[in-house]
Amino acid sequence: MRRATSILFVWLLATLAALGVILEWDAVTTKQDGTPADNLAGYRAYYGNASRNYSADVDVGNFTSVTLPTLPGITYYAVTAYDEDGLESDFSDEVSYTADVPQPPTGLTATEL
Amino acid sequence: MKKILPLFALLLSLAASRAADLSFAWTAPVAAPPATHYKLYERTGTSPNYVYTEVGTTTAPVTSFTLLNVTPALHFYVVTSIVRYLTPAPTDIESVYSVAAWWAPRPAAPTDLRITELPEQAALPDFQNWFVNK
Repeated sequence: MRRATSILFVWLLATLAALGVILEWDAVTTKQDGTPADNLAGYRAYYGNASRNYSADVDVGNFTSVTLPTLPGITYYAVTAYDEDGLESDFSDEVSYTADVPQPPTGLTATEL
Repeated sequence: MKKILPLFALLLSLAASRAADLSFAWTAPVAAPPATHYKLYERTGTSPNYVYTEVGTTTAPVTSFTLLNVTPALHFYVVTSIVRYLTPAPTDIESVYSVAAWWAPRPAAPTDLRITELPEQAALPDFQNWFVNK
């Protein structure tokens, strides 16, 4: 379904516990067949709580880094590249971030004994 | 007799306002990281200047707590999740406060309930027939 233009290499550069994470990746220079990616238009970053099943995405434009929010629990991230024809690559390798701060309990009740 | 009456009234008052024992329960968060402890706080004051006073701690997976001798008044309570890391140095990372639960003493049940049968209703005069007859 997606026509890959290249393989992206993504890594988690740094973590900002409350503000989010910074993703950085290598610029795409070739298409999937190895020819120059001369019509590359930009990148799209995806994230969500399920691996390879992302619930949100951000158009990064023609930059190779982006700051993204973290979600409660584990947040998974991946990036794609797209060209001027709207063709989008496969997902990059996936990285994840596990929140350090726990979520509060729910359903607190107080009952007289 | 004059000395006994105030004492009796005081005893009645104390009995009516005796302390309560409260049982708390909550649901552990699903999202990671898993909590290692929970803290129960009493919340006093008004928003946004709430004051939180710790009243109990449990170790996961226990998600309940009993608080004894609570004064009979309106009380608000919240609970937090704690992740306790032991290395490189003991550190507690605590969640935000949960939604509050409240407790207040319920009113006492009414006492000395009585029932009285109504007297039979007196029959009204038959005015319609009264005019015809006249």
